[in-house]
Amino acid sequence: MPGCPPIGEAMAALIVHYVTFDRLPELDRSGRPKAFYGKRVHDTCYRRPYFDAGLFAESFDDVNAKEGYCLYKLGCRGPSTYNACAAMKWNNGTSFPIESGHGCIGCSEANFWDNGPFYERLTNTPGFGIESSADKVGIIATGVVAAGLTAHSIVANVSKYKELKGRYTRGKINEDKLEKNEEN
Amino acid sequence: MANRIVVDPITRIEGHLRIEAEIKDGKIVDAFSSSTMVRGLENIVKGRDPRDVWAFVQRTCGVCTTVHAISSVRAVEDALGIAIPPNAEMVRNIMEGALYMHDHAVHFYHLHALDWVDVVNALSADPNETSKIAQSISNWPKSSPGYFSDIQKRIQKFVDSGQLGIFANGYWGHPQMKLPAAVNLLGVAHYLEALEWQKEIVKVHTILGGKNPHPNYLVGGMACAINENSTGGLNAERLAHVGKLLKEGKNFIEQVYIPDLLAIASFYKDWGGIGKGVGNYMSYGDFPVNGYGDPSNFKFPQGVILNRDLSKVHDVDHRNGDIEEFVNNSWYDNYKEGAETGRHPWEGETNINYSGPQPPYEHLDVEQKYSFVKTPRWKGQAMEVGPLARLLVGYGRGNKEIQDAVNGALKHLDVPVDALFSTLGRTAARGIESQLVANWTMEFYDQLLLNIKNGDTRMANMEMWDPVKWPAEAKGVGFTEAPRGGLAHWIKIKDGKTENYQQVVPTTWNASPRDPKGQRSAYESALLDTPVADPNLPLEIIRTVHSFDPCLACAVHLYDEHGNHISRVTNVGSCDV
Repeated sequence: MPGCPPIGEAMAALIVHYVTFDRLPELDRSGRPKAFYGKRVHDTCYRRPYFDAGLFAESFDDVNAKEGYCLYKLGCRGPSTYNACAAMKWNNGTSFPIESGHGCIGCSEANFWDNGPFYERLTNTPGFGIESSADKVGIIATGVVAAGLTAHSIVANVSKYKELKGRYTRGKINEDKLEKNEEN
Repeated sequence: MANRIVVDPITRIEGHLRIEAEIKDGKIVDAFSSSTMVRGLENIVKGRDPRDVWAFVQRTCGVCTTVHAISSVRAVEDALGIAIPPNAEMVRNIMEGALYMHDHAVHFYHLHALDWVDVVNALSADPNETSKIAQSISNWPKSSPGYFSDIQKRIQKFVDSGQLGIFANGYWGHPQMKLPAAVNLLGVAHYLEALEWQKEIVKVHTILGGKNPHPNYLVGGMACAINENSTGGLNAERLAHVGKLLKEGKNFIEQVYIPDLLAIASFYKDWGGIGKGVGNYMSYGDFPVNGYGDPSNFKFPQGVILNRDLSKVHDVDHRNGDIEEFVNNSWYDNYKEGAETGRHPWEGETNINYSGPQPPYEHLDVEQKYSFVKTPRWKGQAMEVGPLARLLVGYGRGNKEIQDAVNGALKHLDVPVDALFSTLGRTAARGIESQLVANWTMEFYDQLLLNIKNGDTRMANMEMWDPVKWPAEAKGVGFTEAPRGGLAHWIKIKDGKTENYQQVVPTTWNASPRDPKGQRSAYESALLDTPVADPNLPLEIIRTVHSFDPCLACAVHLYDEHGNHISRVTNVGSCDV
C-alpha cells in the first residue's frame, strides 16, 4: 500500500477485504491492490475534462485556479500517479489534494521525492484513456518513447473540447491559446 | 545507594527517547535524556527547490505536519520578502488552530489520561454515580446512566477476552491512581468519544489542504483558491463545513476536555509540586493577525521568562546570536571551532557521527556524547517550551485574555500560582490554551468570511514565485508555536537552491542533552526529585515525561545499581515534533 501516507480507508479496506473474502485482493505486478492502485489519479480526477479541453490554471490563485481548472501546468503528478485519491478522496470522502487546489505530488509512486521539483510540470504525460490500468500502461511505456504533451495531443482532444466549450464562459486565455494551437 | 533507571521508549507513533536516571530513597536524583533516532531531514533538503521543502520537512511528524510546513514556507517567504494575503494568513491560522484542538485533545485522552485514569477500576463504577458527576460538570449530552453502563460493558468485553487492546500496558491498580471509580469510568468513556471525534476535526485540513495527514501548503499563501460562485474553489458549502467542524471541536473542548481535565486534576493537586523543571520558559509567539513580521500582533505573545520571574519578559531574536545549538553531547561532528562553542542555526551543520555503544546495550556512556538531539540554548540558558511556556509568557506580557484563563483555572482548582511550575501545570496549561485557541480559531474563521464578503478573495501572492526574480543569496527564518512548543526552521538560499536548512524543534529544546556548562535541559531537570513509589511500576516518571507531550512512547526498563535489569514496562506514549 504505497503512499505518504496511503489513504486510511484504503488501508482499512485491505484488511476488511481479507476478513470478508478470506483472500487477498488482486494485486498488480508491483504488488499493489488493483482496487486502489489500478487507475491513475488523472483518470478518475473530476478536473480531467478541463485537461482534455485544454483549460489549465497558469498560476496558483489565478482566475483559472479559482475556476478549478486542471493543475497539470502547476506540476500536478496525477497523470503519472496510481492511487485512489480522486475516487475515494481523503478523510471519509471529504476532499483530496487537487480538489483543494494543489497538484498531486505523486506520493504513492516510487522515488517520488526525487522526481521533482514538485511544481515543474511533467513533460512525459502519455495520453492514455481512462481505461488504462497500471499494468497496461507499464507494458506500453516500455515499448514507446514517452511522448511530450504536444500540440498533437491537444488536437486529438479538440472534439472533446468542442463538446465542452459551451459549458464554460471563463478561461479565455486558455481558449485563445487553444485557438492558436499553442503548446499548453 | 542509587538505582540506575533506564527509560527507553519504543515508540508507537513518532520518535525514540531514552532516559537514564539515578534513583535514591524513592526519588530521582539525576537524569539523562537521549534520542536514539536521527532525523537528518536537513541533509535531505539540501540542494532542493526551496518551494518544495515544506513537503519534505512536514514529514518530520505524522501529526504536527502543519506546523513544520508553515515554519518552512514562512522561512522561504521571510528570505524572499513575500507577504502573504490576509486570507492565506487566516487559513493557515485555522489549520493550525484545528491542529491544536486535535493534538491537545488526543494527547490528553489517548497519550496522557491513562497515566491518571485507571481503566480496569472503571469496571467497578456505578454508572448512576458517573452520570451524576458528568451532568454536574458539563452540558455534554452523552451523560445518561445507560450510556455509561454500555461503556462499562464494552470495557468488560475487552477484559474478559484477555486482550485489553488499546488499554493494554497500563498501570492499573497502581497505588498512585487516585480517582474514584465513577470518575475513571467518565475518563474511559471520553477516551472512546475522543477517538471518534479526532477523525472529524482533521477534516478541516482536508478541506483546506486536501488531506490529513500532510495537507498541502504553498510558498506565498495557500493553494485553496476562493470562488464563491463555483465548486472549483472554496465556496459557501466548503467554508460552512469548516465552520461546522470548528464549532464541534470547540464544543468538545469546552464540554468534554476542560471539565474532565479540571475534575481529574482536582484529585491530583499534589502534582502541582512535582516536575518543576528548568524554570526558564520561551515562546516564539504565533497566530499572527496582521502579518508574520510583527510579533506584537500575535495571539500568543513572544518572549522569554527566566527563573520563574513573571515580572520580567525578555525579547526573542531569531536572527542574532541569541539562539545557538551545541553538539558537545550529540552524535554529530564537533564544529571546527570546537565542542564547547555553539552555532546559530543559519550556520548550523548536521554531520551525523554516531559514537555511542553498538546496540543492544545496557547503558549509554553519559560522559561521552549520548543523544541525536542537539542542545539549543537561548543566551546560554536552557529553556522549556510548550503550552505552559506560552501561557506564562502571555501572563507576564500582561495579556488579559491569557491572564483571565489562567487565573480562572487556578481558582477552580484552588491552587497557588506556583503550582503552574509543575507536571500538573503543564497538563493544565495544555487544556487552558486549547480553549483559547478554539475561541481564536472561530475568530479567524469569521475574519476569513468577512474578508470574502468584503470582496477580497486573494489566497496567494505569486509575485516572487519564479526563481529568476530571487536574489542570488537569501536567508530566512520561519517560526511557529507547535502544540509542543516553539518550532523554528532556518533556511539559506543560494542560486535558487536550498543551501542550508536547520530545524530546531520543541523536543530539541526540552529533550536535549547537557550543554558544555553541564546545564540540564527541561526533561532532565523536571525529573529531578520526582518520587517513584514502586520501582517496578514507575508511573510517576511517565506522568512527568508525558506532561511535556514528548514525541515517543515509553518502554520503561529498570535497572539496579549494578545495571541489572529489574523490569520492563511498555507504556502508552505520544507523538511529535
